[in-house]
Amino acid sequence: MDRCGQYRDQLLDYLYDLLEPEVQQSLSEHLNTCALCQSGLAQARQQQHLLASAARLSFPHFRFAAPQPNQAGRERLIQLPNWRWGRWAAAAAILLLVGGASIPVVGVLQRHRQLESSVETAKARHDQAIESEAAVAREFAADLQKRRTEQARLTEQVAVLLPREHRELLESFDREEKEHDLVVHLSGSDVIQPGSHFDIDTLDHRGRPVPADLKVRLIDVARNAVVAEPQVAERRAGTYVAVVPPGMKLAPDMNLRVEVVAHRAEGATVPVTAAVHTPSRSTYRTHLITDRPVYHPGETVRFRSLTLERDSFAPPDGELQLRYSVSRQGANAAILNIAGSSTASDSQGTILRGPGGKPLRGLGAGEFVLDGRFPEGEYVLTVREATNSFPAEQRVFRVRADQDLFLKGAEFNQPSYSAGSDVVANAWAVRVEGTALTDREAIATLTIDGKTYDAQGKTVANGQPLGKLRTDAEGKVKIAFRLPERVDDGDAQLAIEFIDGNNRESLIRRFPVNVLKRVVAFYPEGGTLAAGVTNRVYFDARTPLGEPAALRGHLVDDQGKVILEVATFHDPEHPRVEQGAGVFAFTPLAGRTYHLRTENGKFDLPRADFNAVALSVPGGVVNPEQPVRVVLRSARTNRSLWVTASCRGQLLDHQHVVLQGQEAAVDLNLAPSSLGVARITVYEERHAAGKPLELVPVAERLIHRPSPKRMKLAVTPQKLEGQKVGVGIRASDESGQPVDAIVLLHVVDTRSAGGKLDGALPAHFLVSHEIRNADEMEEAEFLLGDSAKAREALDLFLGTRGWRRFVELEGEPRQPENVRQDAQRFLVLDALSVEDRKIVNQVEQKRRDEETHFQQEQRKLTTALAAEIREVENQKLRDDRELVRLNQNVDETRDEYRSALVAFQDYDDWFQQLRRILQPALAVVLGLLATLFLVVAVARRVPRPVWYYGASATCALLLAVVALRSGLGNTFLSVDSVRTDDETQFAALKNELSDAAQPRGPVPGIRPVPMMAMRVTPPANLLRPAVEVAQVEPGVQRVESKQPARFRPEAPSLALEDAKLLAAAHRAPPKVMVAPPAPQIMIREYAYQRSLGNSPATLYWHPARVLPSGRLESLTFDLPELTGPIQIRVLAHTVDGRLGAALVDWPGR
Amino acid sequence: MSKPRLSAVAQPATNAATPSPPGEALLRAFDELRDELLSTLCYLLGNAHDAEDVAQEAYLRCLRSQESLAEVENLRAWIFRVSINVAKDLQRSAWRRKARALPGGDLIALLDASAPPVEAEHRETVKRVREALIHLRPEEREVFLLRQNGDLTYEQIAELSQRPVGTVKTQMRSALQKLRELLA
Repeated sequence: MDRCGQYRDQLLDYLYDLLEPEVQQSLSEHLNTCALCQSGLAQARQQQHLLASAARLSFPHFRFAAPQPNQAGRERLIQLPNWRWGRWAAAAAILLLVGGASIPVVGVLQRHRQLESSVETAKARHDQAIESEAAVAREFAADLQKRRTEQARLTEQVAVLLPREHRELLESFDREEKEHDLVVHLSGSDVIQPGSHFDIDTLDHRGRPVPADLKVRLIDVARNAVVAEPQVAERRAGTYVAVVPPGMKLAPDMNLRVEVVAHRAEGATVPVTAAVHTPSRSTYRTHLITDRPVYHPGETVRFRSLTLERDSFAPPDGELQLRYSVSRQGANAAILNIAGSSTASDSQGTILRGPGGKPLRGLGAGEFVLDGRFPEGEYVLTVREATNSFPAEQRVFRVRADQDLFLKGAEFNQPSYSAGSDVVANAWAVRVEGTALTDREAIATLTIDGKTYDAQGKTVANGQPLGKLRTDAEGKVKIAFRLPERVDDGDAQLAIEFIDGNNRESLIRRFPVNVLKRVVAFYPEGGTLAAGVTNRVYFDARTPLGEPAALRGHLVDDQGKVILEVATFHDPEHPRVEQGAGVFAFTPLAGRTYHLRTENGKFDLPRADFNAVALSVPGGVVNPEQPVRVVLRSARTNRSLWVTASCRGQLLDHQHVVLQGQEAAVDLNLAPSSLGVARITVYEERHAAGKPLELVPVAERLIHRPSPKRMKLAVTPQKLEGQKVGVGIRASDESGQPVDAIVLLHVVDTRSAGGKLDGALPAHFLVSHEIRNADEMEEAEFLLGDSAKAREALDLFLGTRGWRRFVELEGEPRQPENVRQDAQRFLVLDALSVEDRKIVNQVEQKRRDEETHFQQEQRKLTTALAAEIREVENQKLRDDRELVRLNQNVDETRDEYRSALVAFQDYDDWFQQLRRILQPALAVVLGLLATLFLVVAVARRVPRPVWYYGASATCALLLAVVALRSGLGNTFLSVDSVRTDDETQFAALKNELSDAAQPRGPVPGIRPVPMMAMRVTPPANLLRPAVEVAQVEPGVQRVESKQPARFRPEAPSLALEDAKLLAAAHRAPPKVMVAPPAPQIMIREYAYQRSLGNSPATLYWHPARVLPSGRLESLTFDLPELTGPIQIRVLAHTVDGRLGAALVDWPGR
Repeated sequence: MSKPRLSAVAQPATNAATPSPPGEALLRAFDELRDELLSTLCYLLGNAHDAEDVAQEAYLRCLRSQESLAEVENLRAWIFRVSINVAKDLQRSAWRRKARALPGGDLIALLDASAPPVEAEHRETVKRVREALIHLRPEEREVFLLRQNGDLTYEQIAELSQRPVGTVKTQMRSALQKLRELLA
């Protein structure tokens, strides 16, 4: 209640001076300032006036009479009646007193007892109500306490126990991880010789440097002996260098192994030993592609990465944490970073499952829009793995700012031309919105080998056009010109600029001009032309522009003697694999020179070296189940040679050969699991005086061991109704049986894709670790096939484009930087064992599981706690309602008790008054009678005085009884003392009643209610509900207290500390920070729909489509209005390591 | 509500047959207090006849004590005290009590006959208040009337009724509360 309200209730008391002085003063001051209360005061005055009117009656006729002289002796207006008692009256009075009066007295006493009994009954009921209320309150309090205990338990669970358990688990994971999490990178030359050194990096699986104690040993495995212990120097934490002792002696029959024992200094409890015996490898390799090589701003770049185990080509068992970044070419700063796990999921987050219901592993895919962060230029998309489980892969794409205004094309009337011939080109242009460029100007310019020519083949000033032309109704223009009589390099291009108002756009088309000039390179098998023995020499012929060219001629010595006929590889069925390469075998003589004589010119072979070793693996392609036969030839005999075979940095086999004669053959038995390109290297022991033995590489070549597990893809596009294209795909193994394949499906419009697609997924995994730019292998699918022609073509490919390390390192590397990078790459040893990696991955997985489990548990407990809190609140409110009900019951019984007591008190008041009158009267009468009988007996001398004496004595006895009943004469005649007795009794009753209003005994949670007075109406706040009801949840009412509830138990709400703990549990992250699990990378399918607008370059893209039973029937997509030829790319792999690719051109409309 | 205090200053006598000047002043004081005094006694005793007898007896007692009138500081309070004592003497009489009319019986008739000196719209209210006055507890009724009609202080009432001042005030509050509920 507010202050004014309180004052207004007191205004009548104020007027009757009933307030305490300070309250009176305060109210008086308040009245001076409060208009509302002044109004209330006026109303109170009216009430007072009414009360005064009611209290005052009118007695207009009454007059006070002054005493008259004759009335002077009269002092009392009220007098007792003038008694005239007679003897008989006295006797009658006695009879009346004894007999008649006893009847009403008995009735009065009975009534008094009844009322007294009613009071006792009401009191008992009131006591029972209080006791019931107290019992219920105690029960509620106990129940509430139990719930609070549960609440506290849950709170502790959420805020303390669960986080602690979580923290301890994560710490145990950390410890377990540290026991195994040590990666040793060893880099340097794999030619172990005195003085050489190794760079050693110790890292954890996330690539962070970790200090470690290192012990490096060179061990001869064959003798099980330590050959040397290179000293380790620390460059910085986690980076060390180990130098092989300069005086170390190497024996030819040593089977050396570099062993690095690393002991993690920080936290490791078990030393990690990484035995490095050969150049090892990363566990996986990754293939990364984008949907196009060239984009325009605003377009979407789609990419996919596929990570497979390096040897088995099977997807990884667990998840990889992929990190994609996009940066400008040559810049380090990433413009965009994308992260995710390699378990593919769809856009709804559902994990995609492949054959056998297993999740698709090893796949990563994504897309991003080329927004303002990507201006024109070249960009590099890089994919890495968080634990460096595979070497980073990169893909370059270009952003071209200018958007094509026209779709353009040009067709020449012949596939190629010769100098001086006439050329006719038909060019056309259509606006991108579909309308032909009708009757528009077109300017054509002819440039050959950097010079500009006119239509007659005459040299003109640079930039001068052939002429100004106009397009016809279909936007076509015909350009006719003559080539000059002499063309050197054949770099001819025709530029046509279409002009459509202010819009200009050029089309540049190169066209082949046959020239005689050729560039021929020779690649002796093994690297060096060995004199005196048979050599196989690979060669390739190219035009001055670097295009492969066919070549035919004769090998002629310096004396003009034709030795043999030479021709490049020719396959009329697969002309695209004719890469201008060929091979021939001959025996060069020392001191002689040889050249290749063709109609295109004369090309000199390198000089033959007497000391060289000719290495020959005929065919170059070896079935995995067969040993690799290596033939060594040398004119110089008695050479001690070592032949090694390695694949992806792992030494597969090595043999020692002593070349007694000019030729020796050795079979290398390679593990059947290491497939793809392998390297055969020949080392020669060199013994120099005063120097330790050296193993010098003298020859090397690449061979290919094709996987028996093959996959054939058949892609059959067909045109459907409604401008749609349907594509059917069949995947089968080497025996023609369908295989469950996971494929990337990609369809582009070749006119706007910005370049050709490559389909070198198998080549990437099988070849690219040894051959640069293997991803660009044209016809890779054919080359990696098992036909004889394919083997021959692949052998030529390996022989000409295969990297011969020693030649290039020692002599004349054509691309030294790239070679060096590759060398570094190949010599990196990843020393983390597969087992350790598995454990680390398992720990990582356990950490992620624990994180998920922790969050779930926390959510569950928090929900339970919230429900418990809500339930406690509801229980509390229900208890409150019940207590209010019981309290009302107490009030009712108290009212009944009070009513009974009041009735009794009223009756008792009257009874006591009656008693006060009757007792003295009876005493007087008895006294008089006793006296009377005594006087009569003595004075009148009655005959039988004994009766009088007896009567007198009886009366005296009765008088004594009455006196005793009245308190032994203790002023029993005093009205005041009687009233005092009554008041004492009444006060006792009041006290009793007040006690009854108090709770009996301490009741937990219940506050005693002060009892104002017996007859005071209970305060209004006791009569109206102390609670208001509001809806909390369906079916549960929530009661909010508006004022201190009298019977409200102590608030059982959540303690402040509990609330704090709970809040802390909600917001505080666990102390141990763990990187959250990377999100799943979404696999999104894209299919062009005509209704969506302009023609895109990518018509269809699905990074990971599963082909159940190797079959896909229903792939359909729309064709744009102006589609040119389309190209369908299918890159497939299976969970058992099969790889396949198909690149299909389809004419479109 | 404050009321003019009656002065005990004697007026000069006019003749021998009439009361002496103090007696005259006393009579004038009684006349001035007639309605308040009789109303109070009527409410306390339950009938107008007893009230008039008691008022007359009180007048005579005061008259007999007029020698000490000069010492009376508050004549009004003195008159009420004497009247109340007379009324209590009467109530103590067993014969008087036995002959007492039922509470309110005679009084209600008197109330009906006594036109309230208030506006017509309040007549009913006044009537209800009077009935409520009858049904107050005797102690509360006594305290209220002595305060309202007699203008006695609570201390004087406490002295007169031989009760603590706090009790008197509580009874006054209780009476007011009951009557206020009637007016609300």
